Amino acid sequence: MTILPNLNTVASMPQLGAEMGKAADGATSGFEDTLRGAVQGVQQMESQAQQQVAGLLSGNGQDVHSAALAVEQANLSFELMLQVRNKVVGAYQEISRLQF
Amino acid sequence: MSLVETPLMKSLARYLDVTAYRQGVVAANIANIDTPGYRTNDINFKQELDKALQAPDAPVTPSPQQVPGLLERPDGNNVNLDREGLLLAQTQLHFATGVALLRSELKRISMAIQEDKA
Amino acid sequence: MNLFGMMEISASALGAERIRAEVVTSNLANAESTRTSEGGPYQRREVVFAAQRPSFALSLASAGPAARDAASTGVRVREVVNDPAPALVKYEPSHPDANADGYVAYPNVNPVSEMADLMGAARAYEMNVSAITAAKQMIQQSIEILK
Repeated sequence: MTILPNLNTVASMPQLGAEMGKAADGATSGFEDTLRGAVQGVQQMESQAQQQVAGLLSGNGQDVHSAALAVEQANLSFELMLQVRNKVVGAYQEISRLQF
Repeated sequence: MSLVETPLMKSLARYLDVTAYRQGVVAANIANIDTPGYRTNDINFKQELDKALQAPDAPVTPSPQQVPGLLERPDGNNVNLDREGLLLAQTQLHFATGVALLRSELKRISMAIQEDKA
Repeated sequence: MNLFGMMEISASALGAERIRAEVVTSNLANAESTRTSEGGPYQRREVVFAAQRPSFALSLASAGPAARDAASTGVRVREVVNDPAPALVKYEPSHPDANADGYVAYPNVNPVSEMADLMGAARAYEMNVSAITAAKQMIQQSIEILK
């Protein structure tokens, strides 16, 4: 069963969560919520980082250290989301092994 | 508050904001050492830091005050190069300390995320 | 204002102090010049400094970072003026530039005070270089956050 889409883009994350939710009939809706939360956190941090970096590059007085920190926090957020995804995928695979 | 941003990180970010601002004021003082009538400015660091910590997401808006008790030269300028030189060095060290602490906190969070890698 | 703006302020001072040093050096070099192309002795010159808002503050950026820096200004040389003080007059009848009464007009340049001025310019220049170095190091440290 190839339910794993291209996982390189953040945008595809909610899809994965939704699909897994559908396939495992409510038993895995908790996974979907966790993953969705992690993805939203990443999107928020990434947009803030992009905003600050754009400000820095346009020379409007944006602090370098703030922009650097925002970028690093976005990276950590993304890493965290990846780890959550790995756990969720792993748990789903284990559950689907149990289904027969 | 997101999962990766700790309160310590937020405080350190504010500390860096206020420290960097102060360094800018010091630089302006040094630049105007020979400007007639120029008065030395500074910020009340502790006060501004407290203010910044209470409003974690607002941009830092300190109000520079004139520094009292400085000797005024005949052209009206009261910038003391020794005072500004010392402040320049101190503020730079404060900033370096803040960055070092921030990096260590970021590393800690990074390790916590990686820790569980199977 | 960010650290780059701070460097701009310090750099403005480097330019201003350098011009001041040039004017002082010109005074020193011409301390004994009793004859110039305009006729008459060399006119001692002085620089007048004035505070100058850094250029980034004039940009149409958001009101936040630029507006809060009303107090932080750089410096510029507003003008280079002739010292209005009268020339130094000495009695030297044998001098080629002596007037009818045997007096020669020398520039009103006091080498000792010019040297003190020059040292002041050098010291101010040095301090501003330190300020630029400090800003540079702080920017480099900020970048370290990403490593």
